[in-house]
Amino acid sequence: MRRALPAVVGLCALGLWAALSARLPEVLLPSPLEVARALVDHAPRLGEAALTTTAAALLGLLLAAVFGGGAGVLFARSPALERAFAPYTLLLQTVPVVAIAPLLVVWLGYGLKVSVCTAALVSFFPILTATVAGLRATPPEQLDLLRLYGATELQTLWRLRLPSAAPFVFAGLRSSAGLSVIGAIVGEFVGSNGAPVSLGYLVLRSARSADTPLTFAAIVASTALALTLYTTLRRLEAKLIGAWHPGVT
Amino acid sequence: MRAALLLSSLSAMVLGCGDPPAPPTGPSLVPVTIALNWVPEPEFGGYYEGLLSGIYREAGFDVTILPGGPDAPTLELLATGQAQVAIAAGEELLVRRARGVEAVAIWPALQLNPAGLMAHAEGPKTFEEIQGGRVAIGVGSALHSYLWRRFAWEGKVEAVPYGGAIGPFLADKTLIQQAYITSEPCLARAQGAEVTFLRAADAGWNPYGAVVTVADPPPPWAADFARATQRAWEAYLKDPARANAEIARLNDLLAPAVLGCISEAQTPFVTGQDGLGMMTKARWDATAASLVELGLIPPGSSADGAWRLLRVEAPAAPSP
Repeated sequence: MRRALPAVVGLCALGLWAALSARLPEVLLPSPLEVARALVDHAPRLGEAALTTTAAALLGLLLAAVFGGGAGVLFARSPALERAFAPYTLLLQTVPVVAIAPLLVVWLGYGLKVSVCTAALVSFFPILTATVAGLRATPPEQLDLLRLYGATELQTLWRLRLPSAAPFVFAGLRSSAGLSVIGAIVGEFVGSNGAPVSLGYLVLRSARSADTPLTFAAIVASTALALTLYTTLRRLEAKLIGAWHPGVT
Repeated sequence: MRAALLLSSLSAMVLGCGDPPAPPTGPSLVPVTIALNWVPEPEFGGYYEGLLSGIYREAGFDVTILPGGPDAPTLELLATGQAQVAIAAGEELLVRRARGVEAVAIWPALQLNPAGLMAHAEGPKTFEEIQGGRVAIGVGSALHSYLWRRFAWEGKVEAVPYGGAIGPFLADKTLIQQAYITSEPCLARAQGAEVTFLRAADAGWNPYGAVVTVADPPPPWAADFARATQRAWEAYLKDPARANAEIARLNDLLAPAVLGCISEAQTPFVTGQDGLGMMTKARWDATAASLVELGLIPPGSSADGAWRLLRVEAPAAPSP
């Protein structure tokens, strides 16, 4: 019964959607059936677009993991560094991506590069803060033990701090996974000229011509993409650190 | 922001952001990238015709057409050398020049300004009839400022943001929205709506649209390019089939009926009152005066130097 609950909620939501769409014009809310038809009719185009957006989101997430995680290690290690740079990382978090995306087009040109950058920008901060919090949460008695054994800083980082911070880092990565898809799509709103076609481009173009079923189909595809990224990370987390951290399943 | 720049550069490095190698060109051909300010549509038909018919090649140009998107920063692409020709709105050029962008208009694709308002057929037929209600428009845009000032709509007509989607207009028979003759009216008609297009030009807002701009001072090839563009557009207007087929191939989200509708609807805007490719001092000065009045360019600014009618003049002297 517990396993069936999500399906029941999903079916209720679909029913509500179908009932609402019957009362509204298609340009405002297409029915689930019309969206399903758009998903089938535009399958090759949506597939190509989803691939482009997946590439942008994944590369953005990877960049954010490398730089956010790296900065997190440095900040956790040196409070002075954190004091010096933390306000600027916060700035990075608060910069409206929509506002800087046109500048990214000028700097980098049209295409994947812009959406990778916007995906990285929005994904950076959660990974950074999670890494810092995780590294600082190492139990002090374990740190004392390694100190007694004469472990070097690097050994302590590699053998204790990073493994104990892993659940935090994965939590940050999971938060950023959904954000990276949103970031990529926002970048595509401005930085995609249709070559290659992307989900952001499809949303924009279909909304412009009031092809609402296609807009919804592209939204369904982007939601599926974000969910896939999230669950993949969840599985990777369970596989990599599940044995050490009982809370991770 | 430093971090943003660093991230951008690093991402670019990781992705190998260097420009792709230029395709091989003949020894005498000038490589020219035309940056469009929107995706391939009939408003760029002449450039595609010039490319496909060989008109540009015969004139000594190896042309690449770079499609754009929303808010495409074409003049910035020109400034950074990523494009040698940028398509931009006339008023946008004057505003950017006032901010130091060195670009000059050499050929206007749209003689009559393509902007206006779109209302449902049962709604207003003239600007004067609009005395209330809501208008979806780029809030804060030059057109918004101009219309509200010209018709004293402040406090009477509510401006609501227009995000580019015509769905809200189709669903609300009382809503009026901004539109370009090269887009929304044909899209709305394709959805079964009967609409009236109120031309901004008739209300006095008439900057040249989709203007061909090059770096200022113009490169030595600018006059030849303007003349070739004139011939390309003449060919397109005579028979748009080939270029439209290419546009349909490149932009398959545009329904064939909509493409045909736009191609037909834009023709009087391309040829205008003065004839294809013509620009006059009076028109440019009027645009500059409107922009000064709206506070979009500093007082005392003019359109002097912002445009060169190269298609009928001797070739420009090479830049120093």
